[in-house]
Amino acid sequence: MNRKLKLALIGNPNTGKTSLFNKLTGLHKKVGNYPGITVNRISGNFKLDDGTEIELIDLPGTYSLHPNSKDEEVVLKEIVLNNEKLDGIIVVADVNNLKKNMILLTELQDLGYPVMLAVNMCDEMKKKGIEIDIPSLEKSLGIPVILISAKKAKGDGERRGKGKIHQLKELIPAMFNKPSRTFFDKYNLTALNLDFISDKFPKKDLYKNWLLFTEQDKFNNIDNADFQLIKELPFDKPAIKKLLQKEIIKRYKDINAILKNTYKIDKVKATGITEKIDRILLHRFWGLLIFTVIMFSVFQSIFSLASIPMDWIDSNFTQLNAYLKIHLPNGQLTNLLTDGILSGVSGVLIFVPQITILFIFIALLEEMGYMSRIVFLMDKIMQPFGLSGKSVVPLLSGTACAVPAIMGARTIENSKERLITILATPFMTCSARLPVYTIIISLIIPDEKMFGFINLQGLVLFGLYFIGFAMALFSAFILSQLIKSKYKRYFILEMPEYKLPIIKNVYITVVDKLKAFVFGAGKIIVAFSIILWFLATHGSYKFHHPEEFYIQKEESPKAIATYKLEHSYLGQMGKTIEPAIKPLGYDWKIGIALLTSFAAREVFVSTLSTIYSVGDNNDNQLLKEKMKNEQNLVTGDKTFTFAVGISLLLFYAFAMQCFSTLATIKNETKTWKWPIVVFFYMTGFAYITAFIAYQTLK
Amino acid sequence: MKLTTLKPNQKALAKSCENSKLPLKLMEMGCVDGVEIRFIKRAPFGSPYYYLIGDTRIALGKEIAEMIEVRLIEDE
Repeated sequence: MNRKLKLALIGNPNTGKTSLFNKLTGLHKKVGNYPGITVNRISGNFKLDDGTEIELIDLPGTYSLHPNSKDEEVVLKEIVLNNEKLDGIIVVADVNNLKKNMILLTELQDLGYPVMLAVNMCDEMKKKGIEIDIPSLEKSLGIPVILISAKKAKGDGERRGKGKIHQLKELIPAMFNKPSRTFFDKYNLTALNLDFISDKFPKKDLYKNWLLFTEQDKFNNIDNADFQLIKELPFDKPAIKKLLQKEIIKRYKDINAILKNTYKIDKVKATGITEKIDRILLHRFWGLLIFTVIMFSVFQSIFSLASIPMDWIDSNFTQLNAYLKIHLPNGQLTNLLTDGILSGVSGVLIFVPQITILFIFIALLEEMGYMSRIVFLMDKIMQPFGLSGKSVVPLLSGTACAVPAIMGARTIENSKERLITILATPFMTCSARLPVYTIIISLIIPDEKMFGFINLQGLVLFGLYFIGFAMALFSAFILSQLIKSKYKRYFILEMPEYKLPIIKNVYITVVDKLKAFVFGAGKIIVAFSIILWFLATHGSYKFHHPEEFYIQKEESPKAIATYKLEHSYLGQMGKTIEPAIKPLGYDWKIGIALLTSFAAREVFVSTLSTIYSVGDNNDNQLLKEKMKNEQNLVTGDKTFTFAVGISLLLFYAFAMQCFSTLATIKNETKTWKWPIVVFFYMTGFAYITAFIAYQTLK
Repeated sequence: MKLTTLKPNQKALAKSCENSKLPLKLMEMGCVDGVEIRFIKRAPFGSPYYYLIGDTRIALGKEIAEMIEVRLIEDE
């Protein structure tokens, strides 16, 4: 027997739905995305004992089929239109507030789906004074119900095939046998003024048509004869809302009646511990202090802890690169492999430590229930800028690197807030800007103290961090005014119970993110790196035959390298853009450095040291002297004046010069539209500020 | 009285949840007329407000909590 079934996993947020999904499907999951939106479609497979193959789709968490966000809209559309041809639905509920979880369950039953109810977190029932009468619950709902604990697996017989998860699998066939109960059709439709729907359509589709009618603005172009008729019905929004509220009250009445004899909870025991922890973690002093400490550790870890493996990757790739150059035959192909492909790959892998560390933190905070507390603590501050309280984590991480930070925005459920966070984060001062800042500041700002104790250079550096942060918030504010959403923002947030993290879930999250980065953004980064390599190593006739033009034959190899860079395509590009960057105070040499910065901003420093033929050591002091003495050959003016320095600092603070970030934005938003928008608004803004700064200061 | 006027640990019964201005989500989460609400605490920066509504811990923005009328339950 080789039956195939397609099931959906659905439930309220914070019910351990994802844990159950991981338990059922293991690591074999496929992450795709629903067309046109940034919501991930996650599916996995498992087998029943009788050989039936199950494809399980993990739908976004929602409280009902009436959506409050784009993610929840996915659930409505999938369930009502059933494009996936689902055979049945597993509803996950939290044993601690079963009542609320059952709204969604009864809605699904009304749509006629074969349903089973998995009541999760049963391991703590006794401690919380919860009692459930499963057989009676099954009888009154007309569906199979099972108590599970997605958290516990080992030690309760899971290995021997007798655990709760295995029982759940065994129960799946039963959901197709029982006549599921319905609710909606029993409501007095005349009293609800629903006759206009029930008259027109067959009774079995009543609730489906009710959803199509009430949520008609979400179904724009569906090809459905009934829907065309439905759209012609008079639609009075306030009246409809009243009816929807009545529907919920009726559902609660039914649910209360069912649970009255089957479910008992001791409220004080059930909520006691979490509330006690919240009194500390949400305290106006201790809560904020703990929050600051946690954020500081996250920041420190991705900043300094990650630098150990990053340096390791960096030095190993440098060695491998050198090794290959010696042992492979000299030629274009070797160069492509070493300087193009290999440096691209190392440019991808270099992000792995930061992404890993950040997502271990994020997954832990999420698993333990602290993420909702971050939102609670920070919402008031972030909300005026159109950001979520959760945006704090990506924004702060952005001071280390925008790439993991942008990926971290995934935790924000509201897609508008997530998008704004993604677009604002690149303004935060990332660590790659630091070497550029350091050398330019040391060049133009005197190493003096203000009022005897404030170091001027440090003050300017702080100022740069500050304007980066200010611009992130400012652009978030502007974007929140520009990006339209049909969902109004209001703050309603369930505060989940504190839990010990499930290490396997953390592991799966980290592996998922790494895969998404390496195979998504990584491909683009390698491709860009090869293009950049090509542009820097190929060029006109002069590039390939420097000896014919270079008069002093005894010149050092570095000087030849400089000559070659000048005549490479990249050098030509630097010269081509010179008229455009002249108003900012830059010459073509700085132009080349700006272009090479696209690989990573800190490359600015090494490019300049190549151009200025500093000896092999990358000593900043030496480069600084060279930069100080650099002058325009025609006018004899110094190149790095105060005005040019300030202009460069502002340009690096605001411009989008990092193709890894752009590739990540593309990967996260699933469209090239947003990376292109980010590139132009950031670089445009950088150009204008650098222009104003140079023109006023020169 | 408004839900926002509750003092920490005071309990009240909701009585105006069928307000058409309130989002449906609130009712879906169990905030229906007659449900018992206990105020837990306010966020350090003033909003949101943290409640136990029925069996569920929910944080509400000030603008939402202000729209909910409640009747205080006298302490026994």
